[in-house]
Amino acid sequence: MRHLSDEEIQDFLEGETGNREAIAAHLSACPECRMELSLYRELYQQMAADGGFQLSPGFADRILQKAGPPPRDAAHWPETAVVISVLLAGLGTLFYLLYPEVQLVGLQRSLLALGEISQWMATRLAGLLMLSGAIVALFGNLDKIIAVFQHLRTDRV
Amino acid sequence: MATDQRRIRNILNGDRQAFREFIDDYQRLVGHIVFRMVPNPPDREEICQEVFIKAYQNLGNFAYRCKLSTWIGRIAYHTCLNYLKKRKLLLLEDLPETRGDYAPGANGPDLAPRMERAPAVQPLPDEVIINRETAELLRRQIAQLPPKFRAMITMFHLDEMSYTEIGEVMDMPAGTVKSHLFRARKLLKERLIQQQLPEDRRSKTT
Repeated sequence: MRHLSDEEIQDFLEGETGNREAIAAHLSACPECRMELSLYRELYQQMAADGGFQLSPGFADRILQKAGPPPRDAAHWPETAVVISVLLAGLGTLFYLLYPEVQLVGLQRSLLALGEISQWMATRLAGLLMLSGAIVALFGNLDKIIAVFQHLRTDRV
Repeated sequence: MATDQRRIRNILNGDRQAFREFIDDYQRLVGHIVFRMVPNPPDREEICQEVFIKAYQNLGNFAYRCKLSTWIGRIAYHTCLNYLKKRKLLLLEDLPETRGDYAPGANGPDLAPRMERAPAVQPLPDEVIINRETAELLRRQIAQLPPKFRAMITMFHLDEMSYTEIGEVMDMPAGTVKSHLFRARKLLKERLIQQQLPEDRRSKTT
């Protein structure tokens, strides 16, 4: 009869084994493996017992004395950048929709100066460029949105 | 997570009571890691303070990509590693070989050599009485393990962190953590057999 391996016994104690019934049946029939289980069980219990690691009284007070003014809040700057980008894009689009004839005169003139295109075409092209910029700004921050809101990666100190 | 966000926001806004509660909640975890990894008792509390000051100063950079406890654990673990490196106390990186050492997943080794050292007449009862001597013996044996193994044992058994969380703290895959812990427990068990069971046998036979 093959005895249980150390790994099987550890997995059994941690509840990670897939064939719990088979292992339990073996344990009931095998005093040697039961002894191994007892040894490991004792080991797990002892390792879970607090080792008397006690910090002295007033520990928190001493840290509070040492800690200076509140640290700069850098946690939400990516979110802030996203919000500002979206707001600017929204305002730009609104401006374009409300005043299509006066928007980005400079850009329109520049486009007109580039070649033989009509003012109508230059106006639409300028608006399209502005919208593209807004979309790029939004999608450029998508990784930050994902990272911040879905907590995908491990924080680094 | 929402509680953590509120608490961090309060601390960053200068709420001292929120910071005190933060220290109270995590000083057990930090204490466990530091006390296990730092061999010099007078330095331990100072390192614990350093961990919390670092956490306080970097709290604004916490972006909720892992549990706050994992983040604090990372600061504690790496602060201890730096301390040990500075004092050249990281000489031993791996465990010594155990008898019949094998990779997880392999078939069980022949138990016969171990059983020779165990009570030959009758097996131990299933419920072994925990006594102070065993606890002290185990503490000494754990203290002889390399620091990263001491940290793993502490986080898994005392702080009930998962293999994945420990891996995040120590920058290694969860499978590596599990394999290391498996070997550490096996080694500790064998040392306990070597040092403890002869006494049991004496007490049983007298």
